[in-house]
Amino acid sequence: MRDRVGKSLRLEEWARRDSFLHRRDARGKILSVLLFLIAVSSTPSSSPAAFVPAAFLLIFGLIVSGLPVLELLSRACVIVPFSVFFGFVSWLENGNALFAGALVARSYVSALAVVLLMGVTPLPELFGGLRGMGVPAVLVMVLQSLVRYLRVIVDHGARMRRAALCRDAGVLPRRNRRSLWRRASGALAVLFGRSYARAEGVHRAMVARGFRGDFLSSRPTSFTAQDWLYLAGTGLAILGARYLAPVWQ
Amino acid sequence: MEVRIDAMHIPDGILSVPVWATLNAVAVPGIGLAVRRAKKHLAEGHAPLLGVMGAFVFAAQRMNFPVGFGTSGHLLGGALLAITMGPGSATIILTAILILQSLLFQDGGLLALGANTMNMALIGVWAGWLPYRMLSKGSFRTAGVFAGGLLSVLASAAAAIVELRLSGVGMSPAIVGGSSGVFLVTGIMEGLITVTVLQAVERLNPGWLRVPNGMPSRSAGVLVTAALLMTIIGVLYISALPDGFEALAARVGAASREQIVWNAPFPDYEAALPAGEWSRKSLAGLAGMAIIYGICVTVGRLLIRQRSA
Repeated sequence: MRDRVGKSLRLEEWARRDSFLHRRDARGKILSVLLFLIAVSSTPSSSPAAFVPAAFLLIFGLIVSGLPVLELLSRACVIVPFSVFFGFVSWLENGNALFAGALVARSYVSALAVVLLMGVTPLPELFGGLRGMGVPAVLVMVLQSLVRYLRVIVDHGARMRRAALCRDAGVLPRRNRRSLWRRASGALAVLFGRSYARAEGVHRAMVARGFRGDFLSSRPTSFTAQDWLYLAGTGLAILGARYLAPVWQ
Repeated sequence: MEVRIDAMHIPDGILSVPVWATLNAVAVPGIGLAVRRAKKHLAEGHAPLLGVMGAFVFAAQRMNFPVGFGTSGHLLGGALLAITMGPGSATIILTAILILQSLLFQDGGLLALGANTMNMALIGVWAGWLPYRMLSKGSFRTAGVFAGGLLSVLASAAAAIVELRLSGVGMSPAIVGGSSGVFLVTGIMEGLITVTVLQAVERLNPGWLRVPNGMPSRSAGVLVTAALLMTIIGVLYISALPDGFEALAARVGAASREQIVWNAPFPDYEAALPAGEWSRKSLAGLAGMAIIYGICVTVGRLLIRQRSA
């Protein structure tokens, strides 16, 4: 989990860079990704080749964003084991390898679109965009606090695990499952208690600093003419890629 | 080795348009109701508390519990959150976790968010909360907590399997049976972990456990829990044999006597349009989503009006 949190921070570093895509309003980027996902989802799944136009579109987006293309392509591979599993299960049942391949290709392209969105949109802007699109304020605030304290609580859990291993020092036999189980549940209860206490402390400190129930945005959001142009351009490109799909396969 | 059930996070590209569209349309008002419920029970401005508890779930999933044969499992947290934070707050926390997982870690898709939220944050949380709510009297409470943990996993898994079947992901009865076995083991582990962790939490501070008001009788609790379990088993059985109803209808001769009493607006998930198949299916899915959303909003408003009257 710590590795995964670290990787997510790397994504956040990329999102702080500057490019045409980075400068676009978060709402426009979210809408274009949703449109892309809907187009990909509705593409007939008779062959993986149907998703080549969509993949080209994403690679163009990756190049425009100035982000490390190969790293982002490999990051989207996280999804591959799951989609390969579903594809394999489908292949076993239907005996159609092309359909199974299309399932994997569709999942991969969809995951790559989300990776690109996260690579060009800092989290505070993304949350601001979600709020602007009508997501309930409570949910957005929970998301913001979750991101803010994710690393803190995960590191705390890791420190507790390390401390328990040091105290144990190999004395507790690995076969003594009952003791190991009791130790793990006790540690989890302590972590629960400390998280709860930390959350209350955080809340009190925020109230003392003037928190009135809403996080302030670092950058005011405004949907400019360029954002409208971006949205129209990506919309047309996505529809073009979608209609090219049957021709390509 | 670690036993994980991340396969329950359905990625994008697996579910068909009508399935994800319908589930998104149902999940949105569901989360809206959970937000309303949580606001009632939570002090003003306490949203950061939910966020930190969400981070706790992430950390808790790193704590391994030895199972045997060199394997270990971990807490999933739906039932634990429902019992300690209340079902409304637990739904919000798990929804936030699912959104973050899909955006930052690519665990589950964005379009499939409705399905994942439905399975884990709504069905999972409420299936975890109900047995505890119904059996929290005296000596039956531990059984209620265990049943909550078990049923939260089984109900989520059953819903995910049904959604995959409806989307045309071919799953033979053997695969559904095998997956159900894995989910049963995971559910038993979740029940045991939830029981032991809650006992330890209660030793630290009994106030952290939510005690439901107006508890029903034990027999009603046992009945409701058994009904939940039977429903899940029935759903899994039907998804293993999806054509069971049609086969049964053919065997008893009902198929030959069937007659159309109402023409569905979108037969076979297709809108009656001259455009291509994908447009027809997409439009049917989106129209279905809009209709269900409209119904949910109208029913919700009527219920709120009735309550406030």
